[in-house]
Amino acid sequence: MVGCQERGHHRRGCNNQPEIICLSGWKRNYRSPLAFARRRTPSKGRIVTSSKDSRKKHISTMHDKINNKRVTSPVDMEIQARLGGKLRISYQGFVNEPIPDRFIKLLNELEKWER
Amino acid sequence: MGAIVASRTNRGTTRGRLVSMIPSLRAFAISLCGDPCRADDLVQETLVKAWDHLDSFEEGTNLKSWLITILRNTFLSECRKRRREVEGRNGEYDLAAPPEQFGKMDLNDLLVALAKLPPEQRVAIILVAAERFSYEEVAKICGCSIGTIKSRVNRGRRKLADLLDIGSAEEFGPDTTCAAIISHPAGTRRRD
Repeated sequence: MVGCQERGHHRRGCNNQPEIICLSGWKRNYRSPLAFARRRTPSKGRIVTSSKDSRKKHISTMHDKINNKRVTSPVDMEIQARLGGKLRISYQGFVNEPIPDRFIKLLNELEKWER
Repeated sequence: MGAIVASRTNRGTTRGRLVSMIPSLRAFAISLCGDPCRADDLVQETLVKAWDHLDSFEEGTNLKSWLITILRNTFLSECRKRRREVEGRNGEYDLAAPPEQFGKMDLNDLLVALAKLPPEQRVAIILVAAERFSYEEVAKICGCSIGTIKSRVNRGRRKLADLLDIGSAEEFGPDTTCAAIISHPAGTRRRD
């Protein structure tokens, strides 16, 4: 736009056939801000509102999901904790069992056989 | 020659490490199949396979995970074999009627319930909940995604809770180890 003003297009008006480069430059620089502004405001607004709406919807569904989970989660957590505790206690009981001789014998045999 | 000597000494040290892993392997096997005799056979098969393939074990990696992977694979292939044999007679998985008691070990209701889960869910839930492996480690052991393990654990938990009839906390009776966790779950501590 600045370039075009310097070249005198602004004073000469748009009736004159401007140079191709200037015309494109002028048109682009002159129209685009307005065009963008016109296009941007509604479209931006629309997009923003729609995205907000969709976000709201998304967030609300997420909240619903979370809320639904949270509604049941204390019970779930309790069950999980107790289940986990029970599993671990039973598991630890087996871990604490003495190692049967058969495994020591087996490893000895394997070692002997290797030699 | 040097390589052979080295591998022998390695095997010597690995033998000790294998012995130290036996209790965990047995616990995993018993929880998996609910039958200590069958579990011991599984552990034995795992140890023999591990010994035969010690060369494929990468030093520095987790020996327990490696052994558990072998045990898991052995167990699943055995399950498949059994299922093929049992198929037609009934749709149940193996261990339809586990013995009620074995020697010193009492077969608790938990093991009976565990045996009713599909084998893959059993593996996932035991490794995550009892063995306290991370989801990532279990995914590696089972050769699947973390998401799959999570869903197996969730489904397994739900089913176990149903089977054990855990509708409310009271039904489980007092449990001091969990009581502390339950009374103050993360982020919900009371401000005094």
